[in-house]
Amino acid sequence: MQYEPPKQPLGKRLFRYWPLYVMLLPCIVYYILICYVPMAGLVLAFKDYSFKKGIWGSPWVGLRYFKTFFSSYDAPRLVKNTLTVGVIKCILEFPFAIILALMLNELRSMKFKKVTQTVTYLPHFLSSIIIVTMLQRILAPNTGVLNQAISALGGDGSTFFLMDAKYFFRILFSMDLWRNIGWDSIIYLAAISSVDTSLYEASEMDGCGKLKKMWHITLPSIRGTIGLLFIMGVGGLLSSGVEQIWLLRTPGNMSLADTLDVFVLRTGIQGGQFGYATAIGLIQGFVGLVLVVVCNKLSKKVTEVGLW
Amino acid sequence: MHIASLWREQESELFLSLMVTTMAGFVLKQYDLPGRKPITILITFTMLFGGGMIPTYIQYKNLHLLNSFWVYVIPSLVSVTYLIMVRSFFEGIPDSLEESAKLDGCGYFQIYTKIMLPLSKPVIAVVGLYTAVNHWNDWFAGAFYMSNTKLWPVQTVLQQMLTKAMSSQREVTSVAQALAHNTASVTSDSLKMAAVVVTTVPILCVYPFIQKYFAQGAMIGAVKG
Repeated sequence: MQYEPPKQPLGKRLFRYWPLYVMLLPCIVYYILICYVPMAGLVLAFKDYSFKKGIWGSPWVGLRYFKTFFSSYDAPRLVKNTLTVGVIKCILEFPFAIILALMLNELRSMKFKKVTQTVTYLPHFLSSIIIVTMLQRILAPNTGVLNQAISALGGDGSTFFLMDAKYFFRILFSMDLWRNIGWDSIIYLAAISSVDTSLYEASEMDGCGKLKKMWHITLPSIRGTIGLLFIMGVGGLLSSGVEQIWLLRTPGNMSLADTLDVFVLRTGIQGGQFGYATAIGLIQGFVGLVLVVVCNKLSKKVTEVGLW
Repeated sequence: MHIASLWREQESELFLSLMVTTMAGFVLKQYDLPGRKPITILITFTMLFGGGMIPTYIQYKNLHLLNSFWVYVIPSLVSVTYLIMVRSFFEGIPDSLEESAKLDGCGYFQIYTKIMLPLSKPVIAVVGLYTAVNHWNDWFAGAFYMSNTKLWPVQTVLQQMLTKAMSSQREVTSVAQALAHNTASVTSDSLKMAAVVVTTVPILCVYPFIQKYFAQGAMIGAVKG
């Protein structure tokens, strides 16, 4: 038994811990200045911002920006693109990391496993710029590897993949998957390695094969981890990862590469319509938050696993 | 691009960020600190919701971060994930060490510098390298918060080259034109590829050393997050 000292009165404790508060101060100042002040700055969504008067001095405009946005020609297209990208990233890509982790777990040769892991983790550390530059090379018309392969097989090797809207989502999917699959599988691998091995032995006694073991033991044992990562992912459903899309945007795929994030960047920082862009950002952030809270509630009810 | 100033910036960012993160992690580990819970909740909440791009931009402007070298340092100073990683690592260090140091007359700051930091080299290495890599790969701050091209980081310079290449490709519509352009585009392409190599090599050099810590780092972040 550990000895628990009786709690002292609050004032005395506050005094006793003053060095700790001093050490925490930079962190608190950081979060107030960089995270919470901008959160307060969201009132901009209801104001007509002018540089001279600042956020608080600018006149109120009520819900004008929200009305403008929802009645605008852009809104349905933006929402649709954002949702498509979100579904690609959070739902279509989601199972692949689990599958990779399951496959890595079954490997006998440690050396091969190590090499595979090293190779699949690496893209996570390359910047979006470098990945997109490489993509440009690979997908270039005539000279790119892909087009040369197509023409070697007798096809037409002059497709300009990056300029063609119909390839946009496919390119985005493959690029994002290639970049994240290894990294995301680490967490699943760690979860799998903590599964009780006696379960596997018992199932072997009962005559389970590899696939059955995977399905009936491994997957149920790591469902907590899967659930947590899924909830975290759902929060990002509406934030499309502005970096990659901004870089993949070309005149050819402009109609699809316009998500809410990109739109905020375009109208706000580049176009100077601060109030309007803030309003759109607010919708996006708020819906993301609601999605996480709802998913967390559902998950807690169904699987008893939750973020909090 | 000045390599020396780039390096100085990377260094100062890393040092400040590690110092603030480890100090905060150490404080938030003290279980009977008044206000620990609400502070932790407020910090983790920023993971789920934020002010969004425009209010953040205006705040940077008000703090005079725009067009200053500090825009690369301050906004990425603390990250919730790394803070949680550091805190959980500290929680794994036995309390008795801290107790005995207290009996020997150590203050909190001394416990932090003389006991916690020397014992947590692995987690500091991981967080430090993650921070350095993220920082090295960042082009966004350079592209949108910095109009002084002399202070652009490598990735933003590369991004500008990329955009230029895209727009030159835009003009090349037919295959015949592409062939006519061939000589010119080869040089710009090789320049681009050279830049890619230059910006990737540092990461490839660091990569083998951090790789063994990945699983452990990612796991801590996932479980306690």
